[in-house]
Amino acid sequence: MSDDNTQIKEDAIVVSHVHKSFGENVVLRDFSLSLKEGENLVVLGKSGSGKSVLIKCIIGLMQPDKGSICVLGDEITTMEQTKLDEMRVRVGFLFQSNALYDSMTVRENLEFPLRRHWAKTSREEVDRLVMEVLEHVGLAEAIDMMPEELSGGMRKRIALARTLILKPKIILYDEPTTGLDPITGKGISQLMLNVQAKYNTSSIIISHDMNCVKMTANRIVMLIDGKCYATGTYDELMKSGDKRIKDFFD
Amino acid sequence: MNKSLFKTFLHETGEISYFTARFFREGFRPRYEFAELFNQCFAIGNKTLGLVGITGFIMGLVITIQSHPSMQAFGAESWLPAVVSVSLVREIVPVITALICAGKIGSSIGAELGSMKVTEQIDAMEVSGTNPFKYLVVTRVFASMLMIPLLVIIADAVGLWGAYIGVNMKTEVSFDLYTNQIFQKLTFGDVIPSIIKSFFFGFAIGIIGCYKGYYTRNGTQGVGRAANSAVVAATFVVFIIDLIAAQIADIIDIT
Amino acid sequence: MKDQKLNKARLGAFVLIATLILVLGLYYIGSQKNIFHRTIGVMADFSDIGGLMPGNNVRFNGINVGTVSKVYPISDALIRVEFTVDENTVQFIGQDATVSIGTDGLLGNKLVNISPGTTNSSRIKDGDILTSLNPVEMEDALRTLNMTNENILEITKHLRHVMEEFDQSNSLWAILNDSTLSEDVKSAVVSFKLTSENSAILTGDIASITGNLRRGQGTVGALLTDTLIFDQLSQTIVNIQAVSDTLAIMSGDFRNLTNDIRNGKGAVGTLISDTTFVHHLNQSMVNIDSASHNFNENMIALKSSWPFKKYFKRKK
Repeated sequence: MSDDNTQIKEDAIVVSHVHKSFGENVVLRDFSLSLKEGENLVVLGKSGSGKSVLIKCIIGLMQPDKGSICVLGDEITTMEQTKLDEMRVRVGFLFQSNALYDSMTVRENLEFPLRRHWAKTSREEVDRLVMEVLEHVGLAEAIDMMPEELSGGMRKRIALARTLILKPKIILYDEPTTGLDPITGKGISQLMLNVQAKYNTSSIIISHDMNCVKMTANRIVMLIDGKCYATGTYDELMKSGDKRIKDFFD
Repeated sequence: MNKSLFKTFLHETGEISYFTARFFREGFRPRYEFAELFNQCFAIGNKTLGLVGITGFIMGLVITIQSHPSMQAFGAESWLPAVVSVSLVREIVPVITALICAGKIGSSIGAELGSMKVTEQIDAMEVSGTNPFKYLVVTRVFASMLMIPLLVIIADAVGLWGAYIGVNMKTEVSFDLYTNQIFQKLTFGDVIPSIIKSFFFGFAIGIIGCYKGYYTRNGTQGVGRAANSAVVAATFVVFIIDLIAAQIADIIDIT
Repeated sequence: MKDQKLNKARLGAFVLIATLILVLGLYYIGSQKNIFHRTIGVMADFSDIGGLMPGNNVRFNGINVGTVSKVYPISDALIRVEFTVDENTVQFIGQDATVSIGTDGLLGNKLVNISPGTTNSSRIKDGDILTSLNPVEMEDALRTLNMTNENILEITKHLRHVMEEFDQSNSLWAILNDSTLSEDVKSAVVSFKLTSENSAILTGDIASITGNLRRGQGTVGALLTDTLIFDQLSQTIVNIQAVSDTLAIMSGDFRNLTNDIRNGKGAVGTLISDTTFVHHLNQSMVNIDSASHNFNENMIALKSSWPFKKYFKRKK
């Protein structure tokens, strides 16, 4: 793993001048953003404003049309597949729909990201890692259940556990509390803070759930019309007189 | 309307060709997902076996019963096992098995990959450093390529057994005489092309199911459409392959 | 994990069963085509193979012992056929065995027939060229059959004609009728006897005439006539000879004929020999008839010739 001390001053993620369009529909236009080490950055925007596209570009699931994206000091838009896979070990991604593998048990789901390391990792080590993350998300008893047997909140926790099992430096959350009741959502937000404290991760959180935003955000980026409309802390933006910003906070 | 339909068709053909090329590019390079290949072989082979077996049996029985009156009219009743076995092994069993598999395997692959696509499971695999194409597509295509010929062989056996029962419903033929008659008439030229043909059936069913699933759009509605169009396209391609196979066999004179 | 192992075992069972069926099936098909037996390769040359193809069966006295492996021309008039023969059968096939091309049933596949050679010739071995009989083509066979049919038609026409003649001819019926025949024969013999009696009388008469002559009866003219008598006499004797010869032949033929009938030669044969018989019989009867007629005539001539006229008159 990389040496933390050399990167402590650097930005974990730098997105600069990114363009992305689907046919006529321009999603990101000249968008720039930087994520500092240890920071929880919330990207706030309406549905279909291109938030998900942004973080999918960061993880390499989509290619931006223009611009550059640096993750932990490496340019990923021109990266080859093997390097990209190595980068992804250090960047976790929590999908909006959890993306748990339906055909596998919780244990198999958690083991799946370790597959690349199975040759090096012993059976005991894998079991230990699985139990560790499960205990961390508080669902050790669900280890042999199938995803369909779990409730929405439990699934989200298992998905987070699966993201954590590779001990990433950065976690990208795609709408972590959407579709959950407020209490469960609050639980997830708390878990995200715990994770940040324990694993010392930096996060980009995409959300329009203001409860979650309020709890987790160190800094907020407003994504409107494919552009970085405003930046600031939760309190700063709440006090803003701009109508388009105010819409989110009312 | 027609023009756009034609355009869609061309586009689709091109996409499938590209997908196939990608299969060959990725399928024969490490790393190999053997464990998943086993799982898929099990899912495709064993779980379709019952269905294929019953269909094969019924086809053998029905073809025999149906052919009996006309054979009798020619006074060629004793040729019934030979004639039925040749038509079963050469054409009916491979094609019926392929159609059953196009329905069962094609739709299940299409729906499974489709729902994995719309619930971002494919992206999740990509993100966790596993090549989803290798893990999902290559294994399924190889599994159906390997399993469908085996299913055809078993269906051949079951179908010939059904034909034996069919023959014995009408006349009395001992099992020894029956086997003698069919193996006297069958040649390698009947069996081997039909098995080679079923490799291609398996390949087509796997590739089309995976393609339709892998490029599913529009959420859950898209999953249904993926499964449905996978079955339709796979069925169609099975017949195209059968036509080509018959012509090739005819040209190189495998009788 | 346990479940996965079970699944693998099931998959393994499925794959093994399918493979086993394939292997067994191919083996059975192969064994029908004698592929997995130890075989030797032999060949034969034909001028026409009538559509024989590689893969056609090779039969030895009706059992499958191999397959045709190759067919190719070796000159403008000869086609070489290479075929395999099961090693277990080789011990029964001599080098003077003949090979022909036939058909399995009336419309079936072409096949190669091996007829065994003599038992004391040496056995065939790999690479031998066997003697071939060119195949009987269906067309040729039919052509021959046609000719045979025409011949039969001709024969039956003749036969019918003969039978009609036979039927219409009372004399033949009379001959064929046993009792009449024997009566005729009897009467023939009777007339023969009569003839010989007559001759005996004649001889007696001649003796008395010569006695008369010796005694100096008659004139010079009578002496001159004497030569005529002698000529007539010798002619008569010759005739008698001919009659008895013909009789002998006739009875011989009759014996042959009855033998044939008794031995029961074929219907046509019998009929044919019958016609011969009839012919001979006819001939014989005609001969006898004409002979006795001639003789009678002679006798009448003798009677009316002047030296005997007197004698006969006196006798009366």
